[in-house]
Amino acid sequence: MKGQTLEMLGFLILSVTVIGIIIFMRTYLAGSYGNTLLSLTERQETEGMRSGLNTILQTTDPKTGRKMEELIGISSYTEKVKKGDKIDFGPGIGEVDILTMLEERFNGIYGEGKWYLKVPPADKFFTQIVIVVDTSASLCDDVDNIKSSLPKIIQDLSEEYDITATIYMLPGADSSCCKKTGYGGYDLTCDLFEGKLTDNLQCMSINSLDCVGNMLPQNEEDWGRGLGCIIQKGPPQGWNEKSTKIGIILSDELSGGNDDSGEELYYNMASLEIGKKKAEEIGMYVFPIKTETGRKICPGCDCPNYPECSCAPNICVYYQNQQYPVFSKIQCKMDGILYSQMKRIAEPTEGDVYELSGSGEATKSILEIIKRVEAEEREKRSIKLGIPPPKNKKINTETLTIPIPLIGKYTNIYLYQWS
Amino acid sequence: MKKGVSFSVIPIIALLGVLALSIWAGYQLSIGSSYNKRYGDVFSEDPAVFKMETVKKILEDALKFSAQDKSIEIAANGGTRAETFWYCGYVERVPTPEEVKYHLSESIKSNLNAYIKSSEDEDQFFEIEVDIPKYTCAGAYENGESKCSSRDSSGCEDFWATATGNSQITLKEPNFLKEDDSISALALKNRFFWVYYKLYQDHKDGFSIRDLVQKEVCIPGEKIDRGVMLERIRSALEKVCNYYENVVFNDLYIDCSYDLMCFNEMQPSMCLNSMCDRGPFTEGLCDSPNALRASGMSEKITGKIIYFEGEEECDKWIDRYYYENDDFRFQIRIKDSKFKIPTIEKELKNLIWEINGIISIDHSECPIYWKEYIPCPTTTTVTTTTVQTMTTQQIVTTTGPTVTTVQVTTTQQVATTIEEVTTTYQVVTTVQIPTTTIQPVTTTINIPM
Repeated sequence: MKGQTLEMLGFLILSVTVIGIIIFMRTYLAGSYGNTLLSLTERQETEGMRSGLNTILQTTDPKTGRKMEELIGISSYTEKVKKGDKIDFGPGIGEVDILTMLEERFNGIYGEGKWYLKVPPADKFFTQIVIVVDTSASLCDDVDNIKSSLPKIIQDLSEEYDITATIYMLPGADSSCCKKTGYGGYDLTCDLFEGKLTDNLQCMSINSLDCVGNMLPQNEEDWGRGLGCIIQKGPPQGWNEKSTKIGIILSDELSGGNDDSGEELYYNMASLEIGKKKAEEIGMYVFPIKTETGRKICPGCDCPNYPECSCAPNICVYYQNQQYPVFSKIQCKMDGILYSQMKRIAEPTEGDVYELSGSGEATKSILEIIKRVEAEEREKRSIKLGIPPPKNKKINTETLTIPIPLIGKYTNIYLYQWS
Repeated sequence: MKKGVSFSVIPIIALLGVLALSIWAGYQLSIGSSYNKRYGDVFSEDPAVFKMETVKKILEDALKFSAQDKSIEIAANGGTRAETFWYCGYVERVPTPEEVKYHLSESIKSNLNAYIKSSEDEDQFFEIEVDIPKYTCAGAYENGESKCSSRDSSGCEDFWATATGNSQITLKEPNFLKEDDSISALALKNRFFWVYYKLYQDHKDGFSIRDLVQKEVCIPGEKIDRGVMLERIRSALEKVCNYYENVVFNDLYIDCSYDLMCFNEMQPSMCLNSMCDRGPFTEGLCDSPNALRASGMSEKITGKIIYFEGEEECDKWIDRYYYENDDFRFQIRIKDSKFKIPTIEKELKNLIWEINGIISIDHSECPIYWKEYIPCPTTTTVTTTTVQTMTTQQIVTTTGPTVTTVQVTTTQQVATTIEEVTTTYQVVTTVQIPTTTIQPVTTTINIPM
């Protein structure tokens, strides 16, 4: 009995010890090994990717004698950013398609469809902006907004971008119902911007450009012709062929003015076509900004007949020596036509129509437009190779800085790799 | 009993086995930890080394771009940082190799430091926190003068650029790491030194654009007019270009062109008004064991100014002669289209060496002549109108046919057509006039020429 008890106890101790050791090994020994193994695996992946990238970047291209990283810098700066774009190194070397060469090397190391490379442009965004302003009375509040906010925005942007903006006032109408506090009205002219203008922001009357023939704007809403005239004559600094050109139109009426018929007439279309054609010729992005037309109170508000009707406060006319806010069914109808007309100039020029719902939005929209074009241009001028990374995979990334031939400037190579 | 003992021995043996296993496991555990520690140490060192190497590679590429860009600029200036003249009046100052290397090195240094300055911007080097001291010395090395002066450019189609700040690059993350900041890079496919040495050697061997032009323009004993002179200068520069293209370089990719930038027919010495003389080169190469000095030529020949003064007959065309020095400014461009080089421009550019010069042609033996009409000195007859006025006191009013004698003051206004000066004479005279009329009197006077 005693022996049996001792045996049982011995086996019990043995079992406990074995279990203890197993737990100990599982917890510490295997855990330590596991961590080391995991760390090593991760390390191998990262180092493998990095060494692959280094191998490619440090490889000398036999034709040019230059390393791939140097060639990427040259390619990025000279804006040869698409496969098939060739850089001419002179007859002693010939033309080189760097990106195709690079793609083959990446495919060889990471495998086709397993990587993505992006190199954004390094130099400053260089843009020339022209803003065509309808000078009819309904634009008073928008012009006021531009006057108070745009100078600072352009000044701030000029630290980051190489930017110039010129405001062009269409031939002025009597805007005397643009009210100043306490006294009479004022016309929409460049005088309003006095003291606010800088080298980066200027204002000109379109009449001062001396456009002739079909380029001559006929009235305060003739923004199509106005844009054509500006493009033909160029901004005060002249057009720079390397700049990104942006045309912004600020109006609440059809190009050439709304007609009482409520239809888009031939002269509206002709004016629009002139602007569109010129913008396409010069490669300008056109962004019409449709200011508040009073659409919110459509339909049914007809101010002359119903003076008590509270129409959009920024729309006013003098009628029989009295000042009236004006809004009619015609304008309700025109609102839609205006939008479609603005679309017709925006779409072929890679622009877009911005619709304002309040008077304080004009400058905000201009800023949005500049940022949007800058992002699009950066995207266009980026080197992109491989396929964009899938969402359901573990992606390894590596970023490397390289200099470009523009003295003092660098860009980054972003590499994404997955298995 | 035997059975009980044997049963109790089994757990003891098993226990011993478990103990042995535990010891082995402990041993293995310590090995695993040491592996982990060892790899951990390596892991933390490697990224630091990798980052340091990355920074140095970036700097080397920046050095390469700096050298490429500045080679284009220095060549366009004629071998120095500012535009330089190889010919200035009678002085010939082709920049020496030390001078060219000095200016190229200094320019490379300033470009490289521009890259370093911008690297200080936040996050410029992606996730690398590094301190790079400014470079204080840069160098440019060709493959040897003999290789670069040879007819074939194959031994001189690249050059080395170096830079040092005699300091250390400091990496702060992930480990603190320091490394010597000296870097070097090969500027490839760039015949900057080959073109330069060919031109330099050719000048050293005795070729002078000034001599060629002088010889072409001025044939001793022959008088030439300015129109012919201009043609001859053009033709001489054309010959210089042909000489460079076919004799000096004889290379498929070398083209020469020229511009006559100043030739003033009316004021021959006007072209020398521009500052073309540069001081002697006294700088030393910072990375050269011997700071070389080059001194400029000081020879100055004063042109003779002699005007031919023959007996000048009037009313004839006579020959005028001009023996003074005559200056013109030119630029010769040696364009190497074999390679296109990356620069700060968006497009790659060809290397163009520009030779600027303002040359004084000595006309002491080949006067410039022109014909000039010499009019005779003449006495011009001018008809003047005399206006007479009388003082009230002197007017005697008379009636009847009697003649009265009165005193009048006469003012004669004479306009001389030659000098275009109006002279006023005042003459007081006594005349007899009829009492009923006072008429203007016309007189003739001679105006001395």
